[in-house]
Amino acid sequence: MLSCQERLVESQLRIDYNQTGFAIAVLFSGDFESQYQIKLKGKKSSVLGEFILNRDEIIFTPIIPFSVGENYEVFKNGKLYKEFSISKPENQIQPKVIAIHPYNDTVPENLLKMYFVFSKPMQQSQPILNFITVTNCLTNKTEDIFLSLENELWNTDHTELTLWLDPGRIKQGLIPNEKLGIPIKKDNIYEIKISKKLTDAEGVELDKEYIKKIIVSERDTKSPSVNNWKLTIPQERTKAPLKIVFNESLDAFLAQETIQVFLDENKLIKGEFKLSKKATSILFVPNVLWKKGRYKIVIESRLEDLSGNNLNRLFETDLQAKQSYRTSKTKVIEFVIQSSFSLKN
Amino acid sequence: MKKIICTFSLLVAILVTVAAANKTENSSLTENFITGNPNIKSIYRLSFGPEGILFIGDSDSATIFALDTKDNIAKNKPENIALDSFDEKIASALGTTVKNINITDMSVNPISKNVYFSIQTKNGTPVLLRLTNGKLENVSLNNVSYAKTTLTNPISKSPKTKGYYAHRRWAISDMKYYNGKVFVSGLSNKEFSSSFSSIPFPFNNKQDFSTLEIYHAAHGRYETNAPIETFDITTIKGKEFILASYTCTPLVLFPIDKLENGKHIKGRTVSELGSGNAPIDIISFKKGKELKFFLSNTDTPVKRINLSDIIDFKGSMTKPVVTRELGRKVGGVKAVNLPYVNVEQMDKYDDNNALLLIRSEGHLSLQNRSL
Repeated sequence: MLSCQERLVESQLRIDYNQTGFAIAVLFSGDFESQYQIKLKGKKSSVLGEFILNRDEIIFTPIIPFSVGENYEVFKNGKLYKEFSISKPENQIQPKVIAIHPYNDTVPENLLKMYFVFSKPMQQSQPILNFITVTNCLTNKTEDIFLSLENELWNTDHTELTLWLDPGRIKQGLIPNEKLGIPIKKDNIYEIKISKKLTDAEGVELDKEYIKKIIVSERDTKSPSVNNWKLTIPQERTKAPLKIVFNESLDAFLAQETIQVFLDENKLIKGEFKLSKKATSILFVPNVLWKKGRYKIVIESRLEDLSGNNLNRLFETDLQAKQSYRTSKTKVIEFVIQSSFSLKN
Repeated sequence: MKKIICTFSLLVAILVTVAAANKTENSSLTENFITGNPNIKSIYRLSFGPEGILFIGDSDSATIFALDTKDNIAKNKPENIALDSFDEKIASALGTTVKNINITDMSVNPISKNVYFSIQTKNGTPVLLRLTNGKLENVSLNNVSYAKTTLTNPISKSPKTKGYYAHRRWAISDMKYYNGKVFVSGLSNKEFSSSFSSIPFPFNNKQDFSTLEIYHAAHGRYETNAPIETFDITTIKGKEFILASYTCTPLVLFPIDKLENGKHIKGRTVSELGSGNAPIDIISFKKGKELKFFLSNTDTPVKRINLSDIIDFKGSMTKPVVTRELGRKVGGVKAVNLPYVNVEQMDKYDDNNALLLIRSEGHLSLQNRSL
C-alpha cells in the first residue's frame, strides 16, 4: 500500500512522490522471474536501491530520491524496458535570499563575517563558494575574500550561512595577512553575486541572481561601548518599546541573542526584540505592561561589531599578551521607569 | 508483498554479508549492540575498529555510532584499485549527478579491505557506501546492529549561541580506535574549546574529556580554539602519544596518560609543516625498522615524517618560526613532500599501500599507491 502521492507518468509506470515533493520510488508492471535494473540514462551502473514485488507490480525505492530534471531507464533482462524522467514538482516554491548581513552598503575594511539567510533549507552537496563570486568593481577582477572551509558554517536547518572573511588575512602580522593582504581594501567597491544556480535541498534553483554591493571604509579599531548607547525609556503601564540605539552597526545575529532586560535584581522580562535593518538599534517590546521600577539591561560581552571587536576587546588583541584590558562576562545599563502619576506631578 | 531477493544481485550481496555475520555473533565487543535504526543525522568521520566494527562520527547529534558491518572475511592480498571518475561512479549508483553529492570521508576495513565512503547528499541525507571488488553497495543505515555514545561536552547548537552554533560540525573532527578506546578530537562547549575525549569501547557511558592547548609557531602564539584536524596514535620509548595535526599546520604531541578527565593539557609542538594549509588525513607505515607517517593536505602535497626524527626532536617549539619553504613558514621536524597533490581522502589500504582519492582534471580518481 502506498500512502504517498502518486503521479501517472506513462502507462504502467508511476512515480511515487512523498509529501515534501521528493520522488522516492518508481512502480511498473513486472514479474518474479525477470531481472530489473534502473539506470541514469546513458550510465553503465545501476542505481542502488530496493526492489519489491507487489502482485504484478515492481516497486523500486532508490537509496536517495530520484533527482529533478534527470532521465532514467528501466532494463528488463538486460533490455530497455521503460523510461521515465523526474519533472519539477508542481507548485514548486523557489528559494529566496531573504537577508544578507550586514545590511549596510558601507562596511569597515576589517569586516569579519557575513550572514546569508535563505527562505528554504539549501543544498548540502556542493561547496557554497561555487555559487558565490566576488568582483572588485574597480579592477573588474574576481577575488577570493571568503574563507573556504571543509565544514561550512550553516545552522542546523541549513537556512542560515555564515561566511568569514579570512581572519588570518584580517589580523595584522599573521602569515596569510602578510602573504595575501586583507580580503577587502578601503575605498574599493565589491560586488557579491549569489548565482541563480544555487539550489535548495530539493534541487530547486534560487528565484533569481542576488547581488550585494559593499563599499569599503576605514578599519574599525574600537570596541563597541555600551556607555555610548542611547535609550528611549517607555512609560509605565504601556507596552511601548524600549529602544536601544547603538552608536554603530553590530553583528546582527549576536545582537539578537546577547541582550536581556531585568526588573530589580534578577526578574527577567520576557518579550520580543526587533533589530533595525542596519543593526544600529534594537526595540524590546515586553509581553506584559511595563511597571515602575529599576531595570537593568544585561549585555553579554561576546557581542561584536562588524569587525569582530567585542565589548571586552578588539579582534586584533593578542590574547596571550599580558592583559591590559578589563574583561567581564556582561555589561550592564541601568534605567528607571517612574510612576506615570509622579511624572505628571 | 514479497521481496524478489533471488533475482537481484544487490540483495544477494546482503545475503552474503548476513552469512559473514556469524563470525562475530558471539563477540564480546558486540554483545550489547542493538538492532534497528540508529537515526544517524550526519556522517563526517569514519574509522574502523576491530572485527569489522565501523565507528561513525555524527557531529550533528554529537554521537559516535559503532556499526557492526559484519564485513569481516579477511583478505590478505587485496586487488589493485584504479578507478577514474570515481565521483561519477558514486553519483550514478545513487541515480544522480556529481553536483548532488559530496564524499565526506573514506575508510578501509582493515580485515576485508572493502572501502567505505560517507556521502552527503543534496538534502543532507547521509549515505554509507561500500566498494567491494570494484562494485559499490549500499550499507543500510535503517536496520543495523549498533551501539552509540553521546559526547559529554560538544560545542553547542542551541539557538542561545546562534552566532556560533554553525561550528557544531566540528564537534567530531577526527576519531580513532586504539587499545579498547575510541579517541575523539573536536570542539567542545568549554572555554578552551579544542578538546579530546577517550571513550572506552564497548561503550559504558564513561568518557574522559580534556581540553587542549598548543603553541602555534607559524602564528607565534598559544592557541586553544582550533580543533585537531587529524591525528594518529604512536608509541615513543614505551609511552603512548597522540600525534595531532592542526590547520596551518602545527604537528603536536600529547602524552595519552596526561589526558585525564577534566584536565587542560598543553601539547609539545614538534613541527610546523607550512602555513596556509590544512591537514586532511594521517596514516603510518612501517618501512623496514622505521615507522613513517604520511599526512595529506589541502594546499600542499602528501608529506612524509619519520618517527625517528620526531623522537630526536627533544625540545618544544615555543618561538615563532621565520624560515620559509615555498613561501610557507616551516620549522621543527622536517617533512618530505611526496609527488601526490590534491589528495582529498587517504587511508591505509594494506601494509604497503595507501588508498588515495585524488582530484584530477575536475574529477576524483581512486587508486592505491605505495607511498
